[in-house]
Amino acid sequence: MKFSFYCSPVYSDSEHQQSRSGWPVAPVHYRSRIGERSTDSALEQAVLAEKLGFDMVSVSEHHFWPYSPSPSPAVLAAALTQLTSRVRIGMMGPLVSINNPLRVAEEVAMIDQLSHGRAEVLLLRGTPNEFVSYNVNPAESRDRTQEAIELIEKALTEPQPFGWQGRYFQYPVVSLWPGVSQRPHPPIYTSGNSPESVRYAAARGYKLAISFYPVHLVAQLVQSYRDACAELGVSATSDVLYRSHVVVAETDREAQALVEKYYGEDGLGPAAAATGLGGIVASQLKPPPAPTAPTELGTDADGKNTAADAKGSARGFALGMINFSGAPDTVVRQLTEFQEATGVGVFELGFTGGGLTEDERTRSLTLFGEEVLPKLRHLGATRDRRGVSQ
Amino acid sequence: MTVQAQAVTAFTEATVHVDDFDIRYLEAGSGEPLVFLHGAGGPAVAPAHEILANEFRVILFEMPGFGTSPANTRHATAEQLAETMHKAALQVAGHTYTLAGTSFGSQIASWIAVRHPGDIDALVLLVPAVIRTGDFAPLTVDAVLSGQAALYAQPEKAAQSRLTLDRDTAVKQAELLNRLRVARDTELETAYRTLPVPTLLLFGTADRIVPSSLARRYVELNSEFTVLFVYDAAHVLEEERPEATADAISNFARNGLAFSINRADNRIFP
Repeated sequence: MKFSFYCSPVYSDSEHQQSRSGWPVAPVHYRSRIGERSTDSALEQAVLAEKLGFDMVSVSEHHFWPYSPSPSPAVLAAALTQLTSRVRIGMMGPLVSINNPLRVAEEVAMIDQLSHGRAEVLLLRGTPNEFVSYNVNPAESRDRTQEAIELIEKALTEPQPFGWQGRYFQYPVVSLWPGVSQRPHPPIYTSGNSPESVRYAAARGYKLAISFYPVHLVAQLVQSYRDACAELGVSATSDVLYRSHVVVAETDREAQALVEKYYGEDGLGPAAAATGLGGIVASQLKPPPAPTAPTELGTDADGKNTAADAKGSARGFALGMINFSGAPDTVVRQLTEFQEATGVGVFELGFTGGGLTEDERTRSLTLFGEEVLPKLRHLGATRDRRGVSQ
Repeated sequence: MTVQAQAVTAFTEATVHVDDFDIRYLEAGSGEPLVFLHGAGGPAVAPAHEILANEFRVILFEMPGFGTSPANTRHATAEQLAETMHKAALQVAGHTYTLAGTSFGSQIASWIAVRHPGDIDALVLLVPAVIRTGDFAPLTVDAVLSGQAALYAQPEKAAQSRLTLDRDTAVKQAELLNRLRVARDTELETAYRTLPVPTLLLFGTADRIVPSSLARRYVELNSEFTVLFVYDAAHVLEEERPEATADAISNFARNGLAFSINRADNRIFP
C-alpha cells in the first residue's frame, strides 16, 4: 500500500471559514499575510509527510477559490521538488480541458527534471465552475480532455518535432524541451470517476484515480477497471489511487470534534464550488441521455448530485464529508476495510480542512504517519501460502 | 486560415494517354494544380478533395491497374509507375504542381519528387507506406476485401466509406501491388535524405496500418520534413477528418515550410 499526502494550501482565515461564500470568492477578502502563511504551512506539512514515510506529495488545480487556491499546480509542485528529496511529486492534477495542453506537457517535463525523475501526473477534466474560469464550453469538456491527454502524451514521448491537427487544439510545431527524466514518460493517471473514464484509462494503459466516492462506488469502479483490462488483454495496474480526507486524534471523541469543524462552520469543503455561480453552472448541465452517452456515478463535471452535495445530503458522496476519522486504531480499521473492499493501491489523503488550526492539522498528520501508516503498508500485497506479504 | 466545407464542386472525368496507357482522372476546381495519387484501395473522391477544389485545381488520377482500368502487367517497380504518373500529371497540369500521395500512393509520389524535384512545388504524403513496421507481408485479396473497417477510427465513417471494391478489382490490384510493394525501399529512403522538395507528412493518431510512431523515422532521414498528426483519424484521413486534412494540405501548398505561421485573425470581436 502506498500513501500520498495531498498538499492543499487552504486559505486559513477563520473569518472566511465562517462565511458561506460559494464560488467564486471575491479577491477583496484576500489578506497576504494569511495567504502566505497558508501556503508555507502546506509546504511544511509536505516536508513532514516525507519524513513520516509517505510515498508521494501531491498538488491539484482550482481557480478563484480560497478553499484550494492553487491555480498553477506546477508552481507548487516546483516548490515541493526543492523541499523534498525522496517522495514522488504528484501533479494531481492539471485541468487539461481548460488549459493549453502543451503548456501542461512542458510543466510536467520541468517538474520531472527539477525532481530528478520523481514526477507523476493526473490529467483531469475539472468541475463545472472550472469551465467558467477559463471560458470553456462544458459540453465539449470531455472531448477536449481526451484530445489534450493524447497530445500531452505525444509531446512527452515524440523524439522528433511534430504538428498537431486536432479537433480542439492545433499546433504546427511541437518539440518539447526539457525532455522527461522518466522514459517513456512520468506515470500518468486519469480520472476513474465514471464507467466511461475507467474504460478510457484501461484502453490507453493509464493508472486510475478516484476522488471522494464512497466505498461501494469505488469498489464498483475498480472492478470495472479490472474487467476492462481483462477484456483488452492488458494487465491492470495495482496503483489505483483514491483521494479523500482524514482526521486522526488521540481518541475517537477528539477526532469527532475535529471533524465537526474540519471545513469550517458551513461544513461544505470542496462542495462549496457547487454553490454561488458554480451552482448555477452545475444546474445548467443536464445529465446526458442514457444509455449511449457518458454517465457519471457521482458529483463531477456533468454536474449530477451537486445540489445534494451543497446541502450536505448526498448520501455517501464524500465531498464535504470525512470518511476516515478517529483514533489511530480506528482509522487503521477504516482504511483496511476500505482497501479490502475496493482494492485501491494508493491512499491520497488530505489533512487540511480550513477549519482546523495548524497545530491540529500537524498533530493529525503526525499521528497518521507514526501510528496508522506503518500498520497499513502490507495492504494489497500478494501473499504466499504462509501468509507472508511479498 | 481554416478551410471550411463549402459547396461541393462536381468532379468531371477525362483521360490522358501516356506510355500507351489511357489514364483516367477526375478533376474539379480552378487555381494551382493539386495532384492526388491514391492508395492501395484505388481512387475515390473524398470530402477533403471536394473542400480543396474550392481553392485548387484538384486532379485525382486512377493509376494503371487500379479501379476501372485494365490490369497493369507492364510496370515492374514503383519507380517505373512513378515515371508514367509524372508524365500524366505534367500533361494534365500543364506545369509544376503540388503532389499528394496516400499510403501506397505516397511511395509513387515520393519517387516522382525524388526524380523530378524541379517539377514538384510541394509534396504531401498522407499516411505514407514507404517506411513500414516489421510485419510486411504480401497482400491477399481476402484481406483487402475484409479489411475495410480497420482503415477507420470512427465506425460511422467506415459505414459511409466511399471506397468500394469488388473481388475482380481486388484481385487485379493485389497482383500489381504485390509486384510493386517491397518490404523496404532503401534506395528511396536514401533519396529522402537530400530531397529538396518541401514535404509534409500526415499521420492519423489512430492508424493501425501506418502507426503514427513511424513518423519520427522520416524526420530522422530528413530533418526538413514536416510531420502533422491528425487526431482521431486512422488510415483514410481524407474521409475521417476532411476539414483538418484539407486545411493542412491547403496551408502547406500555399505556404510551404512557412505554413507554421498562424495567419488567422484571432480577434473575438472586430
